[in-house]
Amino acid sequence: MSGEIEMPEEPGVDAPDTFEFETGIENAPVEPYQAHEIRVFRAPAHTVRMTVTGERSYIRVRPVNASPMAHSDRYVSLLDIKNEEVAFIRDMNDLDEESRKVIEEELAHRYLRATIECVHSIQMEYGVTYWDVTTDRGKREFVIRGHENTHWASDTRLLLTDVDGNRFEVIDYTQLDPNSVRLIETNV
Amino acid sequence: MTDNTTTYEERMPDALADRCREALREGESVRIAAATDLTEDLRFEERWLVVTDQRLMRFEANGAGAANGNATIEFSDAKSAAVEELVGSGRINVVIGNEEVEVIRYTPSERAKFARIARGIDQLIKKEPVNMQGEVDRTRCDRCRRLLPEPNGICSACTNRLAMMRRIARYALPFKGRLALMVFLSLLFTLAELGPPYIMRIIIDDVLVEPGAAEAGDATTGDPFTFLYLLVGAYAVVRLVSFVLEIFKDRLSVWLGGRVIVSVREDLYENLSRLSMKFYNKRQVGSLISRVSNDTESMMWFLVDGVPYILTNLLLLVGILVLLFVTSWQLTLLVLIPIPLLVIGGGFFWVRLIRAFRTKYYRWGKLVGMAGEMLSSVRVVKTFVQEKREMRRFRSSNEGVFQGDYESEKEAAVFFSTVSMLTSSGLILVWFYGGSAVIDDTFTPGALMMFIAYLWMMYEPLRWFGELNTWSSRAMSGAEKVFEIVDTPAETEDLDDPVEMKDVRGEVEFSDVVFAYEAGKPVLHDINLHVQPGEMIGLVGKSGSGKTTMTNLLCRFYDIDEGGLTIDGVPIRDISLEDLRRQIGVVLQDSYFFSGSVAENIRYSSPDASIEQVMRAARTANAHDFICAKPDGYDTQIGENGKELSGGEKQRIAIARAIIHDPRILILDEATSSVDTHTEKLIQEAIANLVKGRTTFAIAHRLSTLRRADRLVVLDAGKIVETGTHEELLDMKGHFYRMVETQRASTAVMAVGGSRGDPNRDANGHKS
Repeated sequence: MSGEIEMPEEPGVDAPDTFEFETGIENAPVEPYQAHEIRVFRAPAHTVRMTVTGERSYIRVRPVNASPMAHSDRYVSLLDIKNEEVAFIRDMNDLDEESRKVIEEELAHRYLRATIECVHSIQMEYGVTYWDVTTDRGKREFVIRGHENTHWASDTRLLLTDVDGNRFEVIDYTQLDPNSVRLIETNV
Repeated sequence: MTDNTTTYEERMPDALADRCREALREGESVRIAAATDLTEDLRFEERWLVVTDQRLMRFEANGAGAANGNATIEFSDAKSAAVEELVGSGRINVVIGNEEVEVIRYTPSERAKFARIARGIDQLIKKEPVNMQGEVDRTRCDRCRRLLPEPNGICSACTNRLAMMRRIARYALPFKGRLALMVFLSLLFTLAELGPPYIMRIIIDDVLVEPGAAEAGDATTGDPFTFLYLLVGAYAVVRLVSFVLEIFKDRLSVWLGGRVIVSVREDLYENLSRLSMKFYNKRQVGSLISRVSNDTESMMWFLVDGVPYILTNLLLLVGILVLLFVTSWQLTLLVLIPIPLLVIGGGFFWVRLIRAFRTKYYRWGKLVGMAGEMLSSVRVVKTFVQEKREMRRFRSSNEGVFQGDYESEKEAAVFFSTVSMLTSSGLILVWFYGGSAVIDDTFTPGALMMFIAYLWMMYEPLRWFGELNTWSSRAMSGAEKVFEIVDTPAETEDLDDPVEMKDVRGEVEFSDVVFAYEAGKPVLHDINLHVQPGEMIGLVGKSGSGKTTMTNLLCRFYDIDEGGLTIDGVPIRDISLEDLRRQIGVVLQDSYFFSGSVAENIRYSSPDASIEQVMRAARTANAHDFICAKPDGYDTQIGENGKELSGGEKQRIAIARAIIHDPRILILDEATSSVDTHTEKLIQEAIANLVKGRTTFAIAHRLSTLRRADRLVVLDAGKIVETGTHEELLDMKGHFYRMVETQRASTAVMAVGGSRGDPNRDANGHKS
């Protein structure tokens, strides 16, 4: 483990220098098992089990994404029944084929954020926005209240949360069809 | 859907209903049939869950499915069922063997419904009586099927404006006289406004153009000058009258609108303070504050400005049209041509304008928020040397405000120019045809001038009529939101004839209490606890185990769902709320203070208490000394959050407040936390004084606080797992023992088993 801490990169902000912690990192809690030490599989069919090579086994683990929006493809934490971390995976490629597949399936099940592919209409009425869209998971209508639930993650990436808590995403609105682009530009 | 709580059935599509009937075995009956909006591979499609008394089946909307073995789960194989909330969706899992198997997925839109259903399935599996009680939130408007802005909210589109107006008008009824006067003044004002152009016509036609006409057609003196002076005088008088009328009329409307809103706001506020905690749990404070401020303000604005504006201008419009038609109906029809354009065009631009202004205000709000954030966290910014970054953030946001400003003003400029262009097109027509008519001698120059003057008067208000719809709907939906709260009944209300309890001994009994904040997710189950008067009970358990919930039930912030809760043998529901709360005192970890002096805060519950009683209470609470040491003593002003006071000081003032309240039942919620050991000792003493002779429920994470408790009750996941004195519990080597061990191990905290007298000693007798 190196003494470097990666700061999140923000556009327009100077990346801070790398900090060298003299004591902080030494005292940091020991990290749990890492990708190359573990194997994840289903046994039986609906339960995700994790074994640490040649050591022990965790009967039921739950993969979660540590940073599901900014780094959805990395930093996976495996939690046990008590929600305590038993393994931390920096890079999914460090896992063996089967483990990776199981974890990816589980993550795909845990996080539902429909990607909007086409916007049919956006209607604004009385401070509420009615959306009619086609997503990668099918057609859907939803309602968004107020500006707080519309979040620009970057200049082109849009994250939406509707009144019920359904999550939607436009990965790059400029890549959508012209009508969708116009609707988003004039309404969001 | 049936109202019965033992079944839950949505209407199945015909194909599915047939298929389902075929699949049923002899004697098998359907208990639950519900549609979900998500497939097992997470696509937005309809799927059906059908649950009978024997098994559980999944179908596609067309009826396919249950024949497939995987789509059926027999209850004989299953152990239990529960919902699992995931990120952006949820599912019902059934435990089969040692595994949790997914039964059905749903989006957050259907969360409440499936929480209920999961409970039903669980009860069916366990062969318990089925109770799926609980409200399913309305997400669509019952009338127009529009999705609602918030569950159970109000559909702005379906607001019945007439009914709303009538309801608002009721608030104005006490001021009938003034209302009538205002209408009368508006009428007079309209007439006065119509006068000047008409006088102008006479001046031009009868005095300027044909001075002779005055002599010939009139019995007045032949001097055109006298006639002119007379007319000019009349003109001046009419103007003066309309000036005075306008002032009185406007004053009156401001007064009336303001009065109405004051009454509305009063009703709103009164009801807000009466509503139960359950109501507040479901709403955000911000949205409620916005109802008190924004929604009443949009109503007020409409009443003060909108209604009188509409009234006068409608009258004016009618008057002008009548006069125009009388003068020349052909020309009048001509000038009406641009009006539809004006209204439609105005409406169109208005939408764009609103949008631009909304963006502008949003950005403006963000900028203000950012500045506020910076100022309140200035210490953090400075310690991390991030001033430059904050400046950059501010600069880009500031730039955004400029852009928004520019865009909206650009739209506004286009809007107003278009309006004046359309207006002048009407005028051009009048000049053209009217001018020709004057040359042909079929129309007098004075009539033409009058025509043009009236036109200006008419177009001016017309350009705003496009927004009328927006105005009124905003005000009306604001009104509806306000009245929604005014009409919400207080959820925990007194029975018709509540039992009066002036004196309570303080015996409390929980028997088989079950309680859930949200239907289907009980946070307390099977709570049984009998507390003797004067007994001190320590509630122990992890956070979320239900400690605070138990005390909330005792205060009757919520009503229990099942079982019984009695005080001195009287069911808590039967006791009048006022009497109940008078007997209960609460000292919270974060005590809230009202702006006012220390003395006023101590005597909050009994404003009549004398200053000597206040001091006695403060002395008992170990607060007297530090209060006296302050420059202003008991008159020290403390702000909303008691900013002037340290944590320990706040605690002791809160204790003094509880002492003066003199309740028979006392609740201490984490009353000692995050204070140094000396202060803790003072607080412990204060609490010891306070609890004497009172039935006390004390909650604490730091087990040391509970050393004086007669009994400890250990809660885990909403159930009582252990009860007894700490010695008994330690001997039991169960939950409590483990908690004590963990605390001893993780911090050098004073353990409960330590010597009783000195809170500064830990279990081993060491000074900590």
